[in-house]
Amino acid sequence: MPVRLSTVLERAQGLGLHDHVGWAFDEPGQFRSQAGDFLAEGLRARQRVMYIGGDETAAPAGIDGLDAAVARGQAQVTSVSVMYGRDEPVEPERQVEVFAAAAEQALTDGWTGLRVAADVTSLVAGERQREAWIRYEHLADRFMAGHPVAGMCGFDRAVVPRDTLAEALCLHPVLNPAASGFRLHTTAGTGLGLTLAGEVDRGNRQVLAAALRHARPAPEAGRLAIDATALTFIDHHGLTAFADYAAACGATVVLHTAESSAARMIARLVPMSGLEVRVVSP
Amino acid sequence: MRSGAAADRSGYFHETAFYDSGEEFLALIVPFFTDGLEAGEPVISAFAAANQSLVRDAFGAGSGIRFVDGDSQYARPAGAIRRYRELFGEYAARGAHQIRVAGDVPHPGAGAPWDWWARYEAAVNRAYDSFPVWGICPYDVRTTPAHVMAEVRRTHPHIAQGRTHAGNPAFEDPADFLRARTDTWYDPVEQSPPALELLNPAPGQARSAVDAVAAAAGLTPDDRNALRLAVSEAVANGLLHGLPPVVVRAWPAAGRVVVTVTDAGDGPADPYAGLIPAERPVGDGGLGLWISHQVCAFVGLDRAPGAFTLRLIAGRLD
Repeated sequence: MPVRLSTVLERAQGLGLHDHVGWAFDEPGQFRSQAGDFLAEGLRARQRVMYIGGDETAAPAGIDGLDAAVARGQAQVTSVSVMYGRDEPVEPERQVEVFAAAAEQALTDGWTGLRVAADVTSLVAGERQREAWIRYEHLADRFMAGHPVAGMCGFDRAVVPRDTLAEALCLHPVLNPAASGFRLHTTAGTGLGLTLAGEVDRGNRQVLAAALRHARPAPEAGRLAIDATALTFIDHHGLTAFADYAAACGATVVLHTAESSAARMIARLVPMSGLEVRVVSP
Repeated sequence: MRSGAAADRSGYFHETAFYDSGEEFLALIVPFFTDGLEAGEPVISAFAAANQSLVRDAFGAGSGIRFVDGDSQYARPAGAIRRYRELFGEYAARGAHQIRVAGDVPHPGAGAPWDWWARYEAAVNRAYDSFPVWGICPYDVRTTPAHVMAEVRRTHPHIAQGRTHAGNPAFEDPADFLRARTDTWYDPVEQSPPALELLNPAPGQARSAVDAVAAAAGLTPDDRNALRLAVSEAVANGLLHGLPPVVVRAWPAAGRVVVTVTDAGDGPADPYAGLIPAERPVGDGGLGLWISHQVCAFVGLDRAPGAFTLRLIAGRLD
């Protein structure tokens, strides 16, 4: 069963295939350096690596032997406008196919997988492209969970509006500190369920509502199970995001939590229609 | 048709009574329950162990009285209101014309802080008024402190003595009573310097800092979750609705953690806040303080000029 990390990291190190990292940075040099660490691990693991810079001149920093890797076809350095077009929104489903084809090609060429780091700031900075890209973030996350690929998405805090930044980052299972209070991502393994980790309160309840809108998880037989065993806090404000989503898709959201959880405590006191909290044994 | 003294009333008929012996207690409760049973009304006995066994002995088995464990029913006032409203609602739905209930309300004589029970005694005048309930809250004058007796007289519109039931001229409008009073009880551990003091923390910071204190104090996972919920909501409310600065302090003690959240505002405007859930959609405000009242071992609303302090205790009160 594919393993993937769900955590918060100070450095983009120790990451493998299936991992999907969201990185908020304050100036582009920080991202080039973190992406350099991320991609260097891929080169060592005989994966094909790709760096997609925010502009044509950007390159990852600190990778020994990058030029040689480019020369032998293991590494590629390109830009967002070349990969995703300059002004048009991406088509999320089609973009996953492009990603899948690139992954397939990497395997065909003899590499063990595909690892991509991209500065996607410009893809969420504009209102026209934003929704499509954030939807793609989740579709890409589903793809990464089940295929030999890994991705790292960089977002410039100085450029991306605050709410957009939160909505895009929270769909990544791995984040740098202070990026988002919670993470809603595809669960490790092939079931393609969703995991909610971290903390949700009044302050980021709207972000959770947006994350559900972007991820659009489909209920099965009227029920939508979410693994919330790593959700360390949620209050009644946060739970209403699930109740609202349940109402919107006419299903019951079932949160799986530890025996003692804030979610369970609230659900017993304030029953919400369309929301169920179930205890799972660790 | 309701039987007895509440016959021509609608809603909640809220009485107190004072007794100084087991005989006097039974002289009040036996006729009260007997008349209800004879009229075919549901009768609920929710006393603590000592009085409960007096009632059981007086009525024997198969009397038809519903015995509710007083210690758990009266563990917290907001919980008592929630469970009673469920219970009354069930009886009312089955067509009960009147429900008779009596129980021991906790106070310092029984080892519990009085403040939130004083608020309970005022708030239930409204909380139970949508049900045909006749309730008696008898107080034992041998153990009830004078300041408790004084507030009991101000919160019950009726007083019973044996078989007589009279209006109480000292009764005050519950909302006025609640607006005018403040919860002043504090935990003795607060006399020492706090283990934690935070100025204007974000709710998440306050949660994790307080939880570290709670973990070190050995609180159970449920008590830790309760405290994090209550602290998070208190800080968010202080920042959103109160006035700065918002100061969080925490004291660990044996088996419990005391947290105070102080801001420079006046506290919640709703006099029933915390005890009766606001009749608004979930998330529209007011519910957080009610949840805190349901899960903490004590919640105090301490209103001083220019300083509102929410006192939250999780764990076991000694």
